[in-house]
Amino acid sequence: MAKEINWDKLDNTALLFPVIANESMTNVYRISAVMRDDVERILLQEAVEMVLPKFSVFRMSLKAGLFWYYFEENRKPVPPVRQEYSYPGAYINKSQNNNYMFRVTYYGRRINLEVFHALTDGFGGVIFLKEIVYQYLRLRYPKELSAEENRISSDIFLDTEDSYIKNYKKPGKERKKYKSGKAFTMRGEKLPGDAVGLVHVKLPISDIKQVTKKYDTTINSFLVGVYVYAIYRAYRGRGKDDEPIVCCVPVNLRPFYDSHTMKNFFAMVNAEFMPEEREYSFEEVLTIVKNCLNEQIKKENLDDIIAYNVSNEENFIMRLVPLAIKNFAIRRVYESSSHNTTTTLTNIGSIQLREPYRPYVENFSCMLSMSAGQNMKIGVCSYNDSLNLTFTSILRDTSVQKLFCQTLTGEEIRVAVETNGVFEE
Amino acid sequence: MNYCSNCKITVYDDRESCPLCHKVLERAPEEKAKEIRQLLGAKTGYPNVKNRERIIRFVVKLLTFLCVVGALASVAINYLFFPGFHWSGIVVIAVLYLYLFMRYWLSHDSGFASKVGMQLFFTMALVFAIDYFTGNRGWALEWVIPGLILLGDAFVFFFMMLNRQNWYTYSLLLVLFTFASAGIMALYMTKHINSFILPLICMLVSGVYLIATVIFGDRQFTREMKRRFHV
Repeated sequence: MAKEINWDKLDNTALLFPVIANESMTNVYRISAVMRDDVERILLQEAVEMVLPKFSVFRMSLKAGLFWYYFEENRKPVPPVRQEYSYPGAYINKSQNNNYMFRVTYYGRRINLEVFHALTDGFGGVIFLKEIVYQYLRLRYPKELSAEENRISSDIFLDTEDSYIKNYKKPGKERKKYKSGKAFTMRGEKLPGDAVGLVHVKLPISDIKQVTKKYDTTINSFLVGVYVYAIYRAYRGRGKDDEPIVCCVPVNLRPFYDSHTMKNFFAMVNAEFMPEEREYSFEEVLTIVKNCLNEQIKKENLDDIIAYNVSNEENFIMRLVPLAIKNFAIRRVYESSSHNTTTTLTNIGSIQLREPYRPYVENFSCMLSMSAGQNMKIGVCSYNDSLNLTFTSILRDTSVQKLFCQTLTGEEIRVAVETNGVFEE
Repeated sequence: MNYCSNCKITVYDDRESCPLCHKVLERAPEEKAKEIRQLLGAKTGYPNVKNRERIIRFVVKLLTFLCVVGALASVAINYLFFPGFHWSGIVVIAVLYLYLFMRYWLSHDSGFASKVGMQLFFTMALVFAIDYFTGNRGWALEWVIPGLILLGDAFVFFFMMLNRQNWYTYSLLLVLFTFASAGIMALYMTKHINSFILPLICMLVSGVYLIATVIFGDRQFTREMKRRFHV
């Protein structure tokens, strides 16, 4: 008798992604690991084949039901590992990828994991990539890593609960509204076709720590402050008077709710800066942004955000609406709210590898794909003493990236930059 | 490794000018380059994917061009040499149909079953529209659409046999074909169409096939329906 097929509902955040994803708004993020030596494709393929069966979250295909999308266990062969062949974060055409919603590519010394956001967030992506890297290195250096076993790490959780539903508290009668006005949009000449420009900005953590200490802030708030200040300076006088610069900052909710889920579990908070008709110094902008974030990243506020997001899904009448109508409504709501944010900065935190593997990996980076109304985004992660920011942009102009780096170097931070070459004529 | 004295940044890229401020780059002193390499790593590089993107865009444009020129040419030939009968209208609809479905098959991300299902249902709608606008004689509902449903049943059977491990993924399509054939029979009962031969055959084939799938498919069929209809 055939083995029963597993299936699962999409988590609260994932419900949005299949509806809005397309070639230009892919909702795919990339996490890359840079090895010390060139990557060997066959070994990498073998590593993915070893790791995938252990991660049910990644071993899924997306199906459409009459009322909801759902995940169904995917028993097709592992998608082939290929050399990087498209722009980073390109659309994952599931029907051309054995129905899987992730892709592993490589280029030179770099291993890229690209994930459709409906599957999991950066937290889940990092765990999966780390396990692929461990297995790959074990196969690549069998003598040096002979003590390592062919099994996934014991310090990770394979929990796939929907933590939004688990931590949902019915909102009171005075339901908090999260409606906001139109935000400033970064405009300008776009790169040709589907081109996506990357600017990797690398800096030593020791340098930035000294500066954050001086400004009494966290690294994340500092980076958001520098970013908002760079946008303000690059576009000063070019926006409408009533449009604030709004930087969306995803917050990993797991530490707040003691969750270890591999599914999506994050909430968005906004750093908002409304410039008036006067000059602002970097310190002023940083203080505004810092206070704005501190006010929102509190358990009570995050409870409200979860309640607000989940309440619609929990409404029985809404659940009975056919998927096609739901999709139409979700798309309209998304389009109307997509211009409420200028940009996004996500920090997936410090990536730690197990001791025996550390010498073989040089660095990590992460990047986000574009979404409606946001022509530039930043992905941040750190590894050892290196903080790595990746600007993803579809704008030809690099003024924001320039002002960002100049603000950092103005604070005596050492900065190194690498691009993917698309800004060259 | 290069250095931009305006931005005060080290640049990994091999290029003349700074990618951020466009000032001509200096070669980074070896000591500085070594320090950066040790601290932050070396250059990783990216492939040049511009050509691949260009080729894809060119092929799409070429197909669009051929379709537009073909459609216009048929209209011109029809107008100049056969002015009595507007056959070029059918050619234009057929070219548009082929073009849209070619793009749908190439770019749409749904599975094989839903692509086949969508194509058949859209073809039914197209055939119905042609019948409706050319005299509404009922041939679409009496013959062509039941024929397409039978073709759909044959497709479902073929795919179920071909992909036995995941046969159940095609069962929703079968349910929809059964409903569609029952709908056509209902039109005969309410005297909206005159001929019942093919609609009846179609309903019997789809119905019997569905009953067989329910009975032989057993729990796998019910589970598939549970997944597809979960609220």
